[in-house]
Amino acid sequence: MSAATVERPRSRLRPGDVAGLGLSGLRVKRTRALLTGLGVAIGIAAMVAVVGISASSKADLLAELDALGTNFLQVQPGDSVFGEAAELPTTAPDMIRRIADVESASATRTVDNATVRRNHLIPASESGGIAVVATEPSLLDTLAGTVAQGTFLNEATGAYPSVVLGSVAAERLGISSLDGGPLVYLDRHWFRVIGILDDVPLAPDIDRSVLIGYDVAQRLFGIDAAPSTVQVRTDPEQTDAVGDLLAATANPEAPNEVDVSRPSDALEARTKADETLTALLLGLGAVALLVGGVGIANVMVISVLERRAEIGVRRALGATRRHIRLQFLIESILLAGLGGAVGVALGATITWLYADSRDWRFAVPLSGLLGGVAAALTVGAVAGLYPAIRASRLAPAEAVRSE
Amino acid sequence: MTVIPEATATAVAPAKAPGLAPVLELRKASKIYPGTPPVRALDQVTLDVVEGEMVSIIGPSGSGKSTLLHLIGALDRPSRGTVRVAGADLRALRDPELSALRASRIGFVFQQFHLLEGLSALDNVATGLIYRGIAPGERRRLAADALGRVGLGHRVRHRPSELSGGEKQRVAIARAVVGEPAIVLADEPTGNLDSATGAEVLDLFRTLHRAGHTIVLITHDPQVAAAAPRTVSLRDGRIESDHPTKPAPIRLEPDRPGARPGVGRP
Repeated sequence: MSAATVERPRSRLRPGDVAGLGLSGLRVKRTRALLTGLGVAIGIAAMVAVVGISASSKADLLAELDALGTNFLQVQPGDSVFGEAAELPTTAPDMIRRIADVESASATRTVDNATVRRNHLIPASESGGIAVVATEPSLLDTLAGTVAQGTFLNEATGAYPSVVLGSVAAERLGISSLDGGPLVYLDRHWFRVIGILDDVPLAPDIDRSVLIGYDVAQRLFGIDAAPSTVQVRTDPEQTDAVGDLLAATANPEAPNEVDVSRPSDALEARTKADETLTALLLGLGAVALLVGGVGIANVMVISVLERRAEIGVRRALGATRRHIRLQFLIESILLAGLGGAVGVALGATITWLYADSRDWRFAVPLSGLLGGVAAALTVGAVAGLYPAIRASRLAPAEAVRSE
Repeated sequence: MTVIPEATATAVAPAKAPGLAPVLELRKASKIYPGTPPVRALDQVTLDVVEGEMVSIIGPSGSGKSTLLHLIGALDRPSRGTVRVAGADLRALRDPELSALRASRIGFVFQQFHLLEGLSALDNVATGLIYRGIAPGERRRLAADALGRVGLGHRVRHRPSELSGGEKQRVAIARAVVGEPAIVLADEPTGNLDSATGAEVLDLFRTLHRAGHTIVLITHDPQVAAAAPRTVSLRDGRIESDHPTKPAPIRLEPDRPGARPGVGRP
């Protein structure tokens, strides 16, 4: 009888059993598995939450931008060549309206010599940071603003002491409702509140203002007709072209004394700034994940040392080196994978709670969820590789002898 | 007969009865561990064990019996000479093939039982078949059968921590025999048991032997060694003596129907 004639069976491990083996290792030391998995869970949760919150915030900003449009420009007086504050010509709003692609343009003029108060008993110095602004009825359309309550100024109400409150101004004045016909006090004159605006994200200044008509402002406070700002809405396709024309149109004599800005740029810049912060936080999450991975590697190395006898027995029962390697690798991957799954769930929950508290729409990109799980599995595989190889290198004779 | 010179041991070994296939064949097998100076743990050992035999290998610590266990258990390969286990020459085998040989032909019983914590007695025994790629249901069925054979049919659901030492060793023995191996190797199987329990475990080995299993008991204890009909004694890596505890090897119904599939070969 020679070796050649002997039937050579092979050691074989069913795929289902591989998973079972990986899991059984975790089941024996539950607390340890839990704590080790927690490290990865925290890392993944942090990353998913960062991605989710950033995505939710961005989705919200973009929705806002979409709603407001990016075809909105502001014209303001800049500085003269001598460094003094310049003025826009009185004709500026009309000139701007004549540009072909301008859909609407509305002038506002800050009434510097008036403050608004709840009543006459409050000293004039306590203005609450609220500006009194004279404007035209078209302003609401130009800003794509909406009234929360009441109406905006029109040609008629703009001629009389009527006032529309910006959202922040209304809050500061303590007026939340038009019931009972509230009045406010503007320098010896009582004005009736006829409307309260919603937030105007493109022109946050308006939120902190109370708006009155040009006519009444000129009559009661004697303001100059020269606008302090002209808000301009253009054809969405032509915003840049119009922007180039605005300075020369508003003040042909001194176009260099005109500032033209695009408020939607600021909003976009905000999303960009968020991206930088997101990258930073993502990096922190990755560090947490890395630490979790090191934790797994650490625990797996210890586990291999502790389980020399088990490795020896398995080798004696017929496990090949590959089977042992596979068992420890799968155990590590499972450990990290379970941690990752918990982390993804945790991260998504955090995102949801945060988005809910901010009234944002909940958005976690699918790539973020899958990425989280994939990152965890990768960490598990990398962390488990060295311990698994070490386990498989144990000589079976040595391992059996241990203890 | 007291001491058989190594060179003639083969010739007089009781294993040469006709019709019995050799399960173990060692020919001048040596194991040398590297070092300064190198340690010759096993020195030209020649030994045969045939199918159905029960043999004790006895020796004091340092006699080389652990090394011999590792060789006949296919856990290690000889430095020189030949070791054939169930017909396979270990020197010709690489790790996957050695593993396969252990999986299908060899059953181990250890002094420390080495059961897997967290698994029931049944699952521990079934683990003895896991590296043969046998389906879980079939593994369990065979394991339950093996537990019945060692008299633990009523303790299948218990975890190792809920079993006594003797019961643990019975589970370990069931794990060793569940795959119907060509040879069962027991390394100090009673070393961690009190003498009464140890005697029960030895009785179990004798019962398995009567049922047709080939069993090698490795021990330092002459009383344990006396449980086998044949005793090989080792000293300083050499075989000091190899004699029947009883006059002749017992022929054990080798043609028992249904006995150990895969063991009998031409």
